[in-house]
Amino acid sequence: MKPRLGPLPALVFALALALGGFVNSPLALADLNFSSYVWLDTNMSSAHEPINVLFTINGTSPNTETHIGHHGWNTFVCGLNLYFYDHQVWENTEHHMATGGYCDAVRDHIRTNQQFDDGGPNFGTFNMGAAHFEDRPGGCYFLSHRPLSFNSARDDIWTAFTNGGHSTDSYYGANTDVLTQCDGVSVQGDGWVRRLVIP
Amino acid sequence: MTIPSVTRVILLCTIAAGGLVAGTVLSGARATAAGDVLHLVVETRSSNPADASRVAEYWLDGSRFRAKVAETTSEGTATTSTGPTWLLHVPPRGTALYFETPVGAGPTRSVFAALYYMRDAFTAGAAKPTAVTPDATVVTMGARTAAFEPASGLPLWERTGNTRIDYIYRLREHLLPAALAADFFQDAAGREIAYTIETTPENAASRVHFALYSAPALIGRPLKKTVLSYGANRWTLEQVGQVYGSDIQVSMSLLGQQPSEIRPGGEAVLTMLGPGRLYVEADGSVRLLVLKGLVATSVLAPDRQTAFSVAQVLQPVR
Repeated sequence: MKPRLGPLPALVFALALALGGFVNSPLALADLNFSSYVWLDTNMSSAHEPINVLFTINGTSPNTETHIGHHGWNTFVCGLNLYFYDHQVWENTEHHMATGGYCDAVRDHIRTNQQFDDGGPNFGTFNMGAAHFEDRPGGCYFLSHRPLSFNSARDDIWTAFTNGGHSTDSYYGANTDVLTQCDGVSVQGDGWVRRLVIP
Repeated sequence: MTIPSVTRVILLCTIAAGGLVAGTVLSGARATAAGDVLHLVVETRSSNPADASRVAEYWLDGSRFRAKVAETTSEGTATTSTGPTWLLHVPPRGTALYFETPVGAGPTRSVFAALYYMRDAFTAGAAKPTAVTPDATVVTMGARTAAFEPASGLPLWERTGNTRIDYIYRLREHLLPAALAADFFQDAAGREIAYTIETTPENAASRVHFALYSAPALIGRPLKKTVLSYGANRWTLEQVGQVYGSDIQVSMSLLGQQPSEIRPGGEAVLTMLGPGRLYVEADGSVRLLVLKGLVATSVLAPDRQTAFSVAQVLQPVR
């Protein structure tokens, strides 16, 4: 005789499934063991930017670049690389995407780098991103441009992905170092990291 | 925030009066005196017909800033202003940013104004002077040439390539603060509309809504910089960063919401600031992170012992 679930066990089972789905979110924490910053060089000078975006699940570099471009950051720009540090390995920036070209007065710009592992269960291949809003006044600024805000660029790309139907969440990473530039102006991230799912 | 009706009438009258002097630039203006509010109605006209025409109204009180911008494009006219869901970032130097946070949607941002951009570039040495008269300083920076008033720093015109933009001041006046509502420069949460300033721990402590920890010096490193930010977004309402010497930073943030997760990894530790987590950064420096309620404190130091020593000597600013 084939066993059947009565109404109450079936309800409990359904609730368990629902709760399980919530708890075991694809964005559950993984072994994200990387520096919270990208650096100008491996000597770790004072010039660095917070990693404030993670592209997860299918965050290969081609997928990440395609989705960033699809959501409006469609200008591929090259430039001086910064170094990502992950699992005791240094690696140059793999990709740059921006909302404007090199000579534009202001733009959003992100450096991304795919990592070697899958980041842990249910996390998939992921890309780390350091996003910033910058201008180009000329002079002595950090790299060729001057970062004006880390938060606004991160939130721009987060908004674009959210409006595009991507699942997102965030965690507080406390990467709040003050970056002081050659003209004395300082910029500081608020410490939040956005995770964006690329299905 | 809503502007009281009486104030609205005053503002409307001043806008109307501004129309009478359209096309003029008042010369010999002084910079905003202490306590005064500089009130501007500025039209920017571009020689490129594809550009939107724009009329912006500004109220500037030192570092405080409010603006209302009416922008006309081929799709119609849109008016925006600072208020409960709008924030302006006007740093002492650099480009002005306009943060838009519509209710129920994620934050977006667009750039709408850079009143003092070329003046600041000139001051910083990035823009070079090509002509200086009592009425105008003409500077160039890359492909951009601009003229601004020496006394006030306000722009007169700018040219990039074949496009020239003229700044036409329809109204320019100094108001007494009493002409504006007491909360005119505040957002809906009662915070002043501003974004990032460099200040003192005492001033920062008087502006934030948490107990700010600081010290004149830490382990032999003098306090070199205090950066206060607020109104950035819904996740971090207020933030104070303090730089000591070249290798110690103390950051305190009032978070807008309880984080679902704290930075992965780390070691559970007990500090004088409370229970927290300790992380070894890629360069070997050590970060202590303590979260008490919605206030996150981060101490970055070159080594573990120094980090704990810093946490031990920090004191609330009275």
